[in-house]
Amino acid sequence: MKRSWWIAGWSAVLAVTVWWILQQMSLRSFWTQVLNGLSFGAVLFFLASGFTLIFGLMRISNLAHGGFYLVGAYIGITVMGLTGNFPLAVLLGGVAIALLGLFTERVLLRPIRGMEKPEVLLTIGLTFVLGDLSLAIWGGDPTPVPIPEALKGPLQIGNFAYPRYRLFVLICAVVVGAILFFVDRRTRIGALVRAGVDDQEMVAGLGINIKAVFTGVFVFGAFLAGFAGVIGGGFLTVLPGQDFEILLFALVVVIIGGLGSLPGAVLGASLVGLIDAFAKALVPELAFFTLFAPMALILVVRPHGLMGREA
Amino acid sequence: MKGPTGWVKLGLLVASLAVGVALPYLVDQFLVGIVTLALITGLFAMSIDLLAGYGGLVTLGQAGISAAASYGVAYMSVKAGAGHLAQVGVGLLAGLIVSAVFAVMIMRSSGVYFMMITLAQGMIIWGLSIRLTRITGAENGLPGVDRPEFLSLYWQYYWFVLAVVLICSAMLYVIVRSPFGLALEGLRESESRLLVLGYNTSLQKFYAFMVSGFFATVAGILLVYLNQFISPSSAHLTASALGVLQTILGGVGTLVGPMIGSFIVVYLRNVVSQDFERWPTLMGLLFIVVVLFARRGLVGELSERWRAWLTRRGLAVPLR
Amino acid sequence: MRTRWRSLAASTALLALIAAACGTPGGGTTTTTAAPTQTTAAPGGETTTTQAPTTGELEPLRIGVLQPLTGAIAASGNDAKDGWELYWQNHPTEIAGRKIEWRVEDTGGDPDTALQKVDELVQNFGAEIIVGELLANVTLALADRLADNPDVLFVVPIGSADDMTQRRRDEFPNMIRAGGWTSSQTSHVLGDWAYEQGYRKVATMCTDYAFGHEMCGGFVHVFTYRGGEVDPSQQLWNPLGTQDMSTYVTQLADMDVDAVFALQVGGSVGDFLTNWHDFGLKDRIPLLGGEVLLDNSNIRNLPPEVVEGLISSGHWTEGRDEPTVTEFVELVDAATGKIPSYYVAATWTAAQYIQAALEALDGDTSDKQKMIEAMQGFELETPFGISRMDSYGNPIYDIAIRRVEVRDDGRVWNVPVEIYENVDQFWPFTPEEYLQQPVYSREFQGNLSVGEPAAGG
Repeated sequence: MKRSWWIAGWSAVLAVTVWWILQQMSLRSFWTQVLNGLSFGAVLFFLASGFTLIFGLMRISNLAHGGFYLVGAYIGITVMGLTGNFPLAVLLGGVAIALLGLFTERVLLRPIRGMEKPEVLLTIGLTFVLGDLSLAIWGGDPTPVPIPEALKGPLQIGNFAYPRYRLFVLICAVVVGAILFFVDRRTRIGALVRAGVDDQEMVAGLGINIKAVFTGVFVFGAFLAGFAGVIGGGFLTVLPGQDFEILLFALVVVIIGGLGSLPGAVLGASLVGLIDAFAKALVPELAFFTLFAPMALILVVRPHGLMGREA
Repeated sequence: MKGPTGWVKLGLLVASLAVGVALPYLVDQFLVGIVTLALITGLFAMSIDLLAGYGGLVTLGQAGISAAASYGVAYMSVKAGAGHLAQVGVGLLAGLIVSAVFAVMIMRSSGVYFMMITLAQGMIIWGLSIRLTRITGAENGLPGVDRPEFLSLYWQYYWFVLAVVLICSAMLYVIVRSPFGLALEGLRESESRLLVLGYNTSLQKFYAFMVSGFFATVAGILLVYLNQFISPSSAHLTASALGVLQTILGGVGTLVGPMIGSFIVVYLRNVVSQDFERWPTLMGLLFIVVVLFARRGLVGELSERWRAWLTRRGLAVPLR
Repeated sequence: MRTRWRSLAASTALLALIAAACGTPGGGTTTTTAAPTQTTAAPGGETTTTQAPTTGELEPLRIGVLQPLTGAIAASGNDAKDGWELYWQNHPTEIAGRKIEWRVEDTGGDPDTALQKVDELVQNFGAEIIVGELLANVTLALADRLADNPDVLFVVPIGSADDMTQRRRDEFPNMIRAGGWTSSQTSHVLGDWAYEQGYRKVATMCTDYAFGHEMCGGFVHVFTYRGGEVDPSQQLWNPLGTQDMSTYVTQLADMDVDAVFALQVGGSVGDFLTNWHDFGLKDRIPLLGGEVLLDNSNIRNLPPEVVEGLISSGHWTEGRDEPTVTEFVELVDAATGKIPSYYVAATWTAAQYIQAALEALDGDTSDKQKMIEAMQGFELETPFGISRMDSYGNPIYDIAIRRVEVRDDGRVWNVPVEIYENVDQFWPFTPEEYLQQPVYSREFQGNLSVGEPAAGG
């Protein structure tokens, strides 16, 4: 009963918002902005889903996730420069960062499991190192990841033109999201991870090597970050300092959605992408606050995010 | 009473104070300036340590508070042309008002969520400092904040900062050992247990945040008079995060640690960077190494080792 | 328990001591007080290695160069550093008996750090000349700090805040823009050119900070002065460091205008231009770039089809077919493997000015005002073409309308389409009438004479 009231209330809010937005812009630009928001949100989703999985299972806030993204993007640029093979670039970007993740989890993070502050210091330190070495290796000129010819330019449908690449990113997000949900809900690995989130001692007690699960999840999260770097670098120009900026976006997504929740990451990423797109268009003066003000507000109302549980 | 530990501490304190006071006679203007800066950022880090080390609340928005104070001073000095008392007054007021608003918002949160709310708060101040062009001069900032006559020379200001930082440190020292400080530690150990004991933990957090905000405010006022300049980058997340890193590097919950962490970071940023372009890598590696080999932070680890050594020799009882 | 009191007592005693010391500043604060001064070398091993003076020779001329070598704009800062160092690798470092010594330091693009570093360069290194910085806000902060120090000459080859050589000129007596420019200087020209092309209604898309306001204002001012129209509601402003530009490009696509003027910096350049191309606008709406938008540093890594054919205006045109320019471009290309950006040319030119001043004054740098006067008298052949100074200390250049073209080796560069000769910072107005108006800001973008007939060009 109460639930249906909530749904009704939120639908009303949504309807009023959309109605108000449509007063300000044409239907065509409305849909274009929706696509803009969602395709930016898609990149945030790749990043945030890895972050939130790691946090949900291991309670580690991996602040090096932005650094992973940046290095992944640079590796993508190098691979594209050498081979011109985009799928290979995406794959190698992901795999290289997965290896980096393996090293980070096994060598750096394992000795300090469960200690929040040292983890913060270490992962930020790692970001400094990754960012500065990237600057030394790749120089700092703003560079996009080169994309294949077939994905360049607009897709023209009638008088409606939209960049092919951004549509491709959206499709990627849907596919990755579907795979993640399938693995999470329908496979043994997913069951293990979910069980680990709820009660680690129980899982360990069942004779399952929980440490291996940890490593696996961390490596997978890192893979997603590298993957996000290459894909996102195709339309978000890569440059020094982006590691921290993209991390901020991902953090906001995760916090709004609720830490450790995969559906939360989907919801958060879409919301942040849409808010970002529409706020820039409708209230440009407030563009500085549109990222943080909604987050602060949501947290004051729902201290554990929209879909989160007690941390 | 504590045997060797007490004497060693006293010795170190007296020695560092002696060096501190005599410093302008020993080194040149540049290094005195660097030490002044390190003292101020050290005070800033200590204000973070009060929350992080004693309350278990890691804040990522502290620079917002100190920048608000700096802007208060700079606005009165540059734009309003007011006297120094008014400048400091408005600076204090600005810092404390911002602290109070922040404090109300974080009363009910803890853990990672506390971190994230404070992060958002800090970034909102940063956004305001860019947006409110008439008050803040946007990203050009406010230059030309002059010090009072009797502090205009670099060594005069150094001694002044040293005195203020010492007074603040003494205050912090007393605070963390007061019943209030102990209750704060209880907050870190187990909030629920405190609740059961009848403590109003929300109010507790509010007070803690205000006290910490006060010291951040003082640091902000000192900093704007040192640089004679303020711009939005002082309110940015980077500034807040650096404060937290200094704290953890030196040792959370030690008060001395954040000060030492601050000296190290300032040294890397301002001195090592002169000759070594890859200093951010060096700093990052230092953070990693400290975490791996001294996870309590430099001071935390050192005092732990010292205590263990004493215990081995039978000179002291374990724990304090 | 007792230790605590002991330490407290000790600290209070010392506090009292300090308070006493503070209260009596060694002798009445007048002039250079003879209290603790630079007595001995720093204990931290951080003494500056003053080159052992060879007997009886003149003191070396020490120059401090401040650029952002780390952080988001590190690439441009390193370009500036390259320009400076390449100049001295190709020219004698001893002029009129004085050795040139320099130190390049990293500001990280942060004004506070820059202020601390400049103190270090002046006090510790003994720099007589400071060359810096890249960002307008950092440059302003430095100019303000150095203004009180008549013993230091501040040379500004890049940072381009308009007012430094305009309304606030008098506040910075020891500053000169050797090799530099003012933000609006090059976009004034573009405003005129756009009107000549027959564009009557233009939208703008600029970064929302002082540099963006000034670049954009320069364009809008002259364009509307000539009779063009810019509707304030069609002036879009995006925050510095915007991550995704698609929203703005979508808005521009909906506007009914003849052309779009754009100025972006850093990562937003690639974002903006890529979206501009991918949304299919590149062939639909003419794009007019503020100088930095299409600077070589910003376009060299973009796919050629995204930038080819785009128009901008600039004092730096790497594809200009003149011996000084081609020679310079080849030299830098050989040394760094990159076609030079304007940052390289700027610090190179600053070095050229310093050398010329040193020669003209026969190595006597004691009077900084004389150096400024000397520099204002030169007519130098620089990578920017012939450079002269106006009486405000800002260069007068031939400014080009440039088009991006793909070279035979596949790389892109800007080539001149049309050249406006002898453009100063006030062009096409007189200094007197120009300085009547406030500096460009988001609120003031020149005379936005919507519908209002303009006085004759």
